[in-house]
Amino acid sequence: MRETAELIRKEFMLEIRQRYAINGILLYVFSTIFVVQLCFGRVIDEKTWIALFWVILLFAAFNAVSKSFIQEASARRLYYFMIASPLSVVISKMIYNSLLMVVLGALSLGLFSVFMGFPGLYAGLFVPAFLLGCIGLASALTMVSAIASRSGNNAALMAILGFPVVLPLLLLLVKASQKALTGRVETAEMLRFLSAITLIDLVVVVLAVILFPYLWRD
Amino acid sequence: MIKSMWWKFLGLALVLYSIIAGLLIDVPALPVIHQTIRNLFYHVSMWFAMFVMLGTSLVYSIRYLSGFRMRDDLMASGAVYTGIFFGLMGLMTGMIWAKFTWGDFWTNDPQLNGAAVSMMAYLAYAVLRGSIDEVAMRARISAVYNIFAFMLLVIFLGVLPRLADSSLHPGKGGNTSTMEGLDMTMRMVFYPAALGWILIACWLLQLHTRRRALIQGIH
Amino acid sequence: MEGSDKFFVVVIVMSIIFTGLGTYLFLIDRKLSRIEKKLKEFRGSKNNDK
Repeated sequence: MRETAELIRKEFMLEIRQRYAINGILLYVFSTIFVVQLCFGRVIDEKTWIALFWVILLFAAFNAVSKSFIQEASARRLYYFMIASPLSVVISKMIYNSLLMVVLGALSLGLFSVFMGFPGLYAGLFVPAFLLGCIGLASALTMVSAIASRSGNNAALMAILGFPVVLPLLLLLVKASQKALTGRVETAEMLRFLSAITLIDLVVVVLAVILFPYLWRD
Repeated sequence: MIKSMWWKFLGLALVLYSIIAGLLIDVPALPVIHQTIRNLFYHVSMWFAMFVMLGTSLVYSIRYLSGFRMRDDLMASGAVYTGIFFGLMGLMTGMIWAKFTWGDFWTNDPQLNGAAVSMMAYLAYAVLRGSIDEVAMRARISAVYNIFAFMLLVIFLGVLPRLADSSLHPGKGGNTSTMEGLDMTMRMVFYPAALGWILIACWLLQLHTRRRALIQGIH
Repeated sequence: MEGSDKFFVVVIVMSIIFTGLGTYLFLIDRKLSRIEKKLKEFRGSKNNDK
């Protein structure tokens, strides 16, 4: 537990020291949203809004998370291998990336609303779906990044390995957001969506915890 | 040798039976699909063969991670390649069938999308294997990806169709069985056809694995 | 369906093609078995030498 907390602290320190990484992602999000605004103009229908928002967030997630393992030089990896257990490494990475994704997602949501307007989404469904979705995307991509980092050309591999893995989650999120468009959603309907997203999150985390030790050792 | 090969002949015989019987039996007169309902015997069997191959590959990937025997890795990857073959066959035949019943090669149907995503995942698996040079590492990493992708695909195929409002495929929207409303004579052809193709897929997998084991000197 | 339009001819042709494919698979299988056996004997004789 202490190990995990320590590792998360290390991630934050690294992020603050190499500010170019986070700045790069922010600039990326800003530019894409700006391009979308230029192309579509301010008024787009709500379904397109939802689709564009999630697609932009998906690519931002790829950019943000893919560096988590790939960026680390093999010497540093060896060092972690010596001092930390694989379990705390993967959990710390997933927690850190989830936090990063939530912050990033909130920022893009804000920017997107400023540039494109905000459709009346029902917050009771959209907010939890959004939070769970960010966590799920971050965890799944953390695992994919760990897999891609062990192979040769990892930047391209990250994308092709990641898409099939996050697609179920992404489609579910888009569906949930579209449901939230219709105004108040009944509790049963809401629970159905949220439990499906939670299920995916849980499966991702459990699989990552079980499988990561196999990736970690040499 | 004949003793150990009986299931291969059984597979051939079953598929041969399904070709002959599938074309000759009387099928119920259905709107829109008409005679193309016979495609059920051939097109859907491809998916059955694919599922069995991908399931086999999952089992062997788990076995590889628990014992690190190269033979298991050979089986796991061979099963994926065979599964991809049957999946592509299923996708192509399905597209032709869809064109003549639903009017389009590609419809936005949860089952179709599920199939496409599965194919993407396993083609990614093939690329991943190609990009790692060291044999033991390749086996380990690809086994991890295989398990990870398979589990998420199971959720995808199991959960999403239930949340979708409608599906063009029969028997969707609540229950997962596609066999509802299939009359008895068609069942008598369909089940043997599916079983026959599964057996032939196993045979292809065995040939593939044996050939590669010979080349790589694994036994 | 049966008997009409000489449809059975098509069925026969398809059956022949499939049987041909099956035979081909079978021959490959037998060839592989033979190579495997040879390799085993070869390995066995090498072990005896030692």
